[in-house]
Amino acid sequence: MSKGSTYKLQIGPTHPAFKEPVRFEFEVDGEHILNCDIDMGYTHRGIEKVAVERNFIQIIYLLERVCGICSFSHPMGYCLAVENAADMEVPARAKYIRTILGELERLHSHLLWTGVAAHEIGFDTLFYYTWTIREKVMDSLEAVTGNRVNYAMLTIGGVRRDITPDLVPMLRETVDYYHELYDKASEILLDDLTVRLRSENVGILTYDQAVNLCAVGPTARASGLAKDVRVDYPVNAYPDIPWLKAITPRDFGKEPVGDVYDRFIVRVLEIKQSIDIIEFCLDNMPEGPIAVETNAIKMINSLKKIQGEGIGRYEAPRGEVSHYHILDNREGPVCSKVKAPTYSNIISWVPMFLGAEIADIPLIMSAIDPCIACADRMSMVNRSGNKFQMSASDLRKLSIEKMNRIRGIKG
Amino acid sequence: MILRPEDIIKKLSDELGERLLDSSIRERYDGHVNKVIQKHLYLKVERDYLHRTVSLLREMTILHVACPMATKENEDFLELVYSFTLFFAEERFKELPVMITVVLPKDDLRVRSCTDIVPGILIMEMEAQEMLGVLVEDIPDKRRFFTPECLEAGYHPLRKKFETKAEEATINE
Amino acid sequence: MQEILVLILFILMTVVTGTYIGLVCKGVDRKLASYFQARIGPPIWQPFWDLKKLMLKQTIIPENAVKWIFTGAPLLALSSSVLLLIYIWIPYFLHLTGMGNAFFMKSGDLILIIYLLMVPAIALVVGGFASGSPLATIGAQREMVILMATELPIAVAIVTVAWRMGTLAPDAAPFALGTVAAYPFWGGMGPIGIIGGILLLFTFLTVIPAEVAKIPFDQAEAETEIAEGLVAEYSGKHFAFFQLAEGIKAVAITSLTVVMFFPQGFTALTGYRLEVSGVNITIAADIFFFLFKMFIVYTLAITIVRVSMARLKITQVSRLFILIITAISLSGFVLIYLDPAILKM
Repeated sequence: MSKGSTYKLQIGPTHPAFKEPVRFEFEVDGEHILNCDIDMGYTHRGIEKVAVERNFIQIIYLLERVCGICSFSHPMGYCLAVENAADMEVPARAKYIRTILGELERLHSHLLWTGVAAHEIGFDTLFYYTWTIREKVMDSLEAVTGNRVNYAMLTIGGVRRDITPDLVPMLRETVDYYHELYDKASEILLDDLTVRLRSENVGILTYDQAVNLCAVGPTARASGLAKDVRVDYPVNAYPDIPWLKAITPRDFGKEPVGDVYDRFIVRVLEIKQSIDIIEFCLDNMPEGPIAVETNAIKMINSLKKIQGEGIGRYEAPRGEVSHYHILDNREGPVCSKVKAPTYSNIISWVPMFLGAEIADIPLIMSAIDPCIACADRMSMVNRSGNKFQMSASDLRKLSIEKMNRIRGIKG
Repeated sequence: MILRPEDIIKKLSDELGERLLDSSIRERYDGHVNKVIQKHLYLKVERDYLHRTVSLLREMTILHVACPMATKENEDFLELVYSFTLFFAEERFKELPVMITVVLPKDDLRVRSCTDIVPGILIMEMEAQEMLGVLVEDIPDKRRFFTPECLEAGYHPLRKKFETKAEEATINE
Repeated sequence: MQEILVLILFILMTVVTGTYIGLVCKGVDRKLASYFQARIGPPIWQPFWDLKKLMLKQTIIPENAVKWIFTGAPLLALSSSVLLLIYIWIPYFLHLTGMGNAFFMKSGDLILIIYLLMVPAIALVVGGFASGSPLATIGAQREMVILMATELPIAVAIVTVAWRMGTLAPDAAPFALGTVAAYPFWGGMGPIGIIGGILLLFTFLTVIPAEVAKIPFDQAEAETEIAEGLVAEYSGKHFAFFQLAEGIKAVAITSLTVVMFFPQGFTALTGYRLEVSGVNITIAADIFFFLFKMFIVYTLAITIVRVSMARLKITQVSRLFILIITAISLSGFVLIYLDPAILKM
């Protein structure tokens, strides 16, 4: 390949590899990637601006819809921030229920990710198997919360619904199911030759890069940086679990390199950890009330008297979720800052892509488990290389024109 | 070596003197059987000494950016709240959140970039530029990130004067 | 005159049956694969409905495409696949029925088949380059690499078989398919030769998924990486022609494997003949036996491999074929070459 023969490859915003729109511009020489540029903003919904105009309880439901897969983590971060600002003490039973829900969500998210990563490398059989296994935890979530995503279980100062004794046998059955399946599943996922051929030494993020670029979650842990909010910052029932630790590839007996295979390892081992945590919480569930105050209006009125700020941090399946809310004697916060884990991991994409091949793009992209939340617009590059953008009203106009054309054809 | 928040405040006030306008430690408890105290460190520094404060913190241990800059806006000033965490890797529950507030006058909204100390703060500073209208000096990448390029200049969505409005959607226009 | 008419009738029957069986094989492959993947999957007749739907859809030709190549490539692929099938099936069936035909027995030969095997792939490549889409260009580049990488193993395997024919039947044309069908490859081989033969068979089975672009060798059409790459811009009836060509080529290459390595028919194996008023109807048993063998090879080489592996990268594929598979086929050749000398000892 001659030196001057690079070309620009645009991948995205819509592409079968991506579950959400993001635009990459790669400078490619044959199959090797020399340079990478990321453009986001395709599903920005302006949630922080909307949050300023809502009251405290409405924001919980708003933040659940930031993301479908980690829809428990964002309200969790929010409630922690507000409780921090208001110095509220959450009852013990509520903490354990929150932990159980958080771990159930982590379970379903990691199984979903394994299926998606397998699909990206063309291994559809694994994709179907992991998603079939995942149905069991979705059934448990539906039994406990009433919905498969967007659980609406949290309120400021506790949870809204209790895990009653008749739900406990079903949760125990789920835990046993995964205990039995775990060894076989981890063998299929981690010991398969073609999976290793595709994922080893691909998308490497070194320890120093992870530290400097502030990577979080399994992305950072796979590089050897053992950061886990559950272990570093006390939340919910995690301080009571004595054996809890951040999982790195060293627990599998391998020195962390920071490639995609390490991320596979971290997530599969975390599945086991989640099952053990759920079992611990079910065994040691304390009795007591489930919320400081169940009446929403009274809660909002008591929060209206508070002036202060609070930070809420929680470990979502993808990494650290950080919320910063400023309260100022209003019905809702004055400023809401939401940081999803993918926000921190976006910059880590750039060093991961350099030196990789085009075939690795979907795998590296999904290796950080992206969960992208931004605004909708469309960007086009025409043949002469000029960029022009179409806004939402342009797109609407085009689709109305198309509809009229079809109607014209029809009659 | 794990530094206590009190030691950090002492170190910073030795270096910065009067530029460290305010500092406080807040505590929080968690855990049911095993109670843990978590401390939070709140600092307020002068705008021009933010960069120095951040580099001092970076010298102590691994510095991680937790959250994009939160804002408190009033008539004359815009306050930016930076959220960092200091990560002491050795024991459980030893990560220390540090919140640094800087006050920017509204007729002079600029702050110096910290990307040379913590490269991971780049996206947050790009967002502050486009959403709040704060000019971040020496930022390596001046483009818009989350908002589209066709958005009019001077439109900063997260400022108070830009309200959200809903458009009525009709089929027959 | 009558011979030519009978030949033309045979050819038409081959084309129709070949297409039908190609689509049925595709359907059964999808159904089997879905059982392996713990799901129900589409019904066996799904490819027929897909084809019908594709013929009804609007055919869009992108602005950037070179129009005559874009529309010509699918037709080229389809016609060459059909030609390939005719050249493989008709000599074999002529041999089974005992009706020798000079035209096919002497000129329908393996070297022509090697070249014909390349033409549908080249048509795909050309169609991809003419699509005017960067993703199709990447797919076309990859397909070229696979094409070049699989040529040598196929050539070595076919030359070995022909060499063996040369020793087994010195009077017949060594490269003719009729000869290969008449004189089974394994005849009179010692243990060393049998090992060599197994290595060659393994080579052929590895080449089959690469020729029909299925996992682990479907980099040219990688769905998640380059959005169906080569055929990304094709829609409507052009895409239907490519699908048909792919189905027929799969049948063709699995039949080639059966003819080369296991050509014995039902009558030859069991020696059982049934004649009804002068017409030998065990021919039907022969044909069904052949289709059964072809179907087994299809399942082993395409279906089972496709559900149990991930897709490899193009650099890994080229390394695999150019180094490893070529080495295996060459050692197969060497073993078979040395076999008569060792047997004499």
